Amino acid sequence: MIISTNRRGFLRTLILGGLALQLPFIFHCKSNDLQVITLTIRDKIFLINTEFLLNIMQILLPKTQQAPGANDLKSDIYYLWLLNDTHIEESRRAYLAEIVVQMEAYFVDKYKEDFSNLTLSEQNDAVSSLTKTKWGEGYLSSIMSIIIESMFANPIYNCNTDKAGWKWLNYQGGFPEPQMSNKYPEILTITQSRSIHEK
Amino acid sequence: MKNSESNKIKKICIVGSGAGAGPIIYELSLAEFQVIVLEKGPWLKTADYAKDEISMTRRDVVTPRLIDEPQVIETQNNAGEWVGISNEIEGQNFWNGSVLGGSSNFMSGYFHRLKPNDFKMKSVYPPIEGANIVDWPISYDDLEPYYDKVEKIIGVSGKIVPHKFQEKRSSPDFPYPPLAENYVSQILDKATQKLEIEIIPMPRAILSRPAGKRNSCYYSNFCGSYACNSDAKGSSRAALINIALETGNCQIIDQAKVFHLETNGNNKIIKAHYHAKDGTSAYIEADIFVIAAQAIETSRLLLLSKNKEFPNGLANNHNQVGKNLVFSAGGIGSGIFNFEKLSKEQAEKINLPGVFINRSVHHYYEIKNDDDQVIKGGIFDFLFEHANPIGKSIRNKWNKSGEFIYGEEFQNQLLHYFTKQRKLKFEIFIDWQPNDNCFVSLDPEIKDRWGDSVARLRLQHHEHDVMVGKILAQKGEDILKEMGCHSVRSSIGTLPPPNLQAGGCRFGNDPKTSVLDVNCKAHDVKNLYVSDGSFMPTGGSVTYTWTIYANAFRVADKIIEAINNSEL
Repeated sequence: MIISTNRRGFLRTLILGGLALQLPFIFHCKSNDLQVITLTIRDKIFLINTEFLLNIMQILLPKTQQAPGANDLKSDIYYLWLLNDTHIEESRRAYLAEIVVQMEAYFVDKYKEDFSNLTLSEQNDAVSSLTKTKWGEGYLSSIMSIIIESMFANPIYNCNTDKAGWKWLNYQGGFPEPQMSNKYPEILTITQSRSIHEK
Repeated sequence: MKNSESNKIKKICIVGSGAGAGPIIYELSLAEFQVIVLEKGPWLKTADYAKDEISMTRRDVVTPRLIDEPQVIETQNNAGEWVGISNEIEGQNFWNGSVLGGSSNFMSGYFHRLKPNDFKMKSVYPPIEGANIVDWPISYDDLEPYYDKVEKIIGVSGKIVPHKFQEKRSSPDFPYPPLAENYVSQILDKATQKLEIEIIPMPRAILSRPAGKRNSCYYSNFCGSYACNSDAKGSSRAALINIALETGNCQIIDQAKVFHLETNGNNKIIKAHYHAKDGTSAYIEADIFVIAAQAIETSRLLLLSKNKEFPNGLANNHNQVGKNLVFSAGGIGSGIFNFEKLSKEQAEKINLPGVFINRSVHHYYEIKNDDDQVIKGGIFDFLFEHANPIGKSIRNKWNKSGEFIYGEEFQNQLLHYFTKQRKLKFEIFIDWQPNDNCFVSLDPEIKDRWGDSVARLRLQHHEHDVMVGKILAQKGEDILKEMGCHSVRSSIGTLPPPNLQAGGCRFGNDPKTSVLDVNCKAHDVKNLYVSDGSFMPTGGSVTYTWTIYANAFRVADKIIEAINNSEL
């Protein structure tokens, strides 16, 4: 597995190689700038602004003295992996892509500015106001659920770095931990390589 | 029981590999028959599994994707009409474990026997309007030797403590001593003693010491919903199939989805047709066929196997297949131990992961109704909230006022949840009344990925069950409060639990009102047995797996007897 300590480098590795997760990646860079990723699900094209996604996630789960933030947990990378996982129902992936796109458009329309150009205080206010709407609360809640997955997933899923998501809660995952051979999605095809006599 | 020399060539094809299939596979392989198992899912071994919340509970790994294999769930609209919708869109998922060993790999192994009156509920208890209750064609005494067999072969640990509703036993105690318990068990014992409620140690289908090639429990803290990495859990795969394979008489064909059982025009099955993993279709010829695909799918397969001889579906000449599905009715309750109100030592003991509570209350197995008549009640089992962190953290996205929280507020709540408290639960089990609106049929339109009609489920509950559940829930809450828990609450569900399904192919003496005879052989088909929970006319107010295992051992004996008597 190729691991890069640099987020953009990691994304580049995933996109070019798709090696780490052995899934057919169906997105490509719009340009050398990895900020916007093009995704096709159910014949619909989604333009996912990864910087916006991470900004929102950092508001939902900021790094504090007591807890790691979404950036530390690589929650955005996990989210993108999920969007590209063709084993997951298209409807769910399309929904998770759509909410990112719609929220970004909402903020641009409301503030006449890219979300990333707002100050941190303005970003916090923006998210807070979104939670007052039913649709906004729903979208943010859905993203939060994925952040939570990235907090507790085994680090073999390239998130929850150094088990930071576990340590701050004194949580210990179960043993045996997943390995490269039996984690998801490899476990889906684990029997394929066995001969008929190897049962 | 061994076969005679002349019958050595008998070939038995078994569809499924869970709790209903395992005993058949085991006994017939040991008896030197030729056993072929067709299992829809992959053959995952112990070493393939990990305590990985993502793969085991957050992705469709051990159950099929609903886009590939949906089920249609009917609900009533405002006009009272039953309308079906695919659970690919919404609704419960009734798949439980499409792998070798089935859902027995992932059970928690809370094992209870039915009690004698559960076999004769129609005779013993007042009638319930709208409930299709019938007595079983066998008694508790017929099944008791097999419950005992399960204790020894599957491995049940625990301790017998006499109580008002203790069923009689041929063995004085369990073959394996109780598993290690958490300090909470002592608090529970004291609380129930004060309330004058009998509480008993809960039997578990988990080895507390090694047996054969199976190791004992290592208290992983991730038992239910996960396969067992020490093989201590009494799954069909670890306890039975692995031994059957060692005989050399058992062959497993995995990723083989059976879609049709072909008959010969003379009430006899000759082939089981299946979709193979390479995308082709194939078939197995055998002398005897045993179906144990879990209740919903067993009925579905029989309905899919209709032909000229059986125009309503195999073994369905009296339209009983799929009818009177039962589940376990009941609900849950919970309370919180707040560590800030306990000593450091107490908090540490309660927070110890891995060890179990293992307590069950059968005190309300029978209760009285408003007319002072004795009616069937139920039981409740105590356990800790599951260790899986993702699910409970997702529930912590909302504060006590029901508002969505995030940022530091969410972090503070989560930190408190994980480090300053522990949640104790009870699960209530009561009878699900079989009724005319609880059955499985075939959907006329929706097909699975192979093009076969999917199961269509109508799952009406009975209000009597809600009434009984509420009585038990109140008792459970009283116990939690006496223990010092706060935030005590309970709820009684009306939706069926997908993992506790039975019925659909009732056994009985009358072919007009049952699908199977007393030995679980189809009335109308000479060489068909059904050995999963489908046979149960009523469910009892306990988890089903022990009863399914026991009956499957009984059916195995009956099959061997029939072969040796040249009846098959």
